Amino acid sequence: MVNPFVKVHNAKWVLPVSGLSTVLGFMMVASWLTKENRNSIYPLMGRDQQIRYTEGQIDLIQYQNLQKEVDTLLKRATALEKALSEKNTGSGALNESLQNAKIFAGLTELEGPGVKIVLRDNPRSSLLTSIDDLIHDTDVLHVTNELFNAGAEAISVNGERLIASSNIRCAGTVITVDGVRIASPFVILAIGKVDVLYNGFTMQGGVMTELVGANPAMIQITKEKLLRVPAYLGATTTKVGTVPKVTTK
Amino acid sequence: MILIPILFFAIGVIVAMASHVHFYGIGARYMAVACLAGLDTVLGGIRSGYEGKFQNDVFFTGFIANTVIAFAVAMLGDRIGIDLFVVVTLVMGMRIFNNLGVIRRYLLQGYVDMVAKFKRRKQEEADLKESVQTSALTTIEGVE
Repeated sequence: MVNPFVKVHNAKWVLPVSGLSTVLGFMMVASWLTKENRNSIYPLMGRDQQIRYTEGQIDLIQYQNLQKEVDTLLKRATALEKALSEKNTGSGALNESLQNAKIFAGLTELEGPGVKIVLRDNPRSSLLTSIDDLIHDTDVLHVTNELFNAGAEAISVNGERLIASSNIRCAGTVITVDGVRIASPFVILAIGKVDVLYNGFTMQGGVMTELVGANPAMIQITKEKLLRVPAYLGATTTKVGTVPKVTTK
Repeated sequence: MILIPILFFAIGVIVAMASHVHFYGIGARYMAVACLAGLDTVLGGIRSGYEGKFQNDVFFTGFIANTVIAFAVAMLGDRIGIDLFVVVTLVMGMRIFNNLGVIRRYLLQGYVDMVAKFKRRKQEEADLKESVQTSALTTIEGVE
């Protein structure tokens, strides 16, 4: 073998090879598997999962709705702040905000279109009363839950307004709503978009079909043009919790 | 001589690190295969340089074609559901080892030659010294 160093000294290969070595080094580092892309489960996911991963990161409609809500709330906050600074119009704005809060809390009467639902124990059952012939607390709960889900703004059960802390439970032969005893038939009034409430309630597989399966006479639903839901009349004071003075972020 | 390409390789690495360039996703995988092809071509260039058969045009076209083909084959493999990048990896890996083997032998030969030359020179120097000493001795003897 010839001694290569003799040729190497006037080698024309050194410069081109060096240049491309630079490019190669650049390429290698650029495609270096970082910890992130090596541990990424992305390549292991199925096709539809990948699409969801890339496109479905956020629920866009919900996001937009939330943004709208944030917008209105911010506007309201600025209006209030403005009102506070200008004391002349302050009381009006404060009153409006208070009324909104009261409506939301269920402390005022509410009027509007909605549906009326009447639940009653099975009238045909005589001596052999089975458990399916009675309206239970859970039935009422299911109905009100379904109505809230369909967008009901206010619900009352036999004249008892349901609020955020309302409870419905069994008390022997009757049921209690926020501690008030009520008995069958149960008249449930719900204010909201009539069609949405009606269709949401009567859809297949809902509470309606479940109860109607026992006896159609046990449940009645009617659309009402004008309903009047009473205000909540129970205690509104909190005994344990207090509002923190400083809001922590 | 081989240190110069290595030095430039290090420069490329530093430049890439400093500029924070990164390929992401599936492209990074193809790019890795392309890097393998590039490494093979660079090593092939060094080898042909040692063999005295280096040609600029062959080297540059080889580099570009190899990387592009490796990239394309890997991509095609993904598209048609066959792991063709394994084929590229295998072939390029074999060639890299071949080239490295040849380069290693040249370097080793160079080292052996260098050592032999060094030894020869030392020997020559020793011989020279000895001859000088013997001649000096003879002169001294001659004087006495």
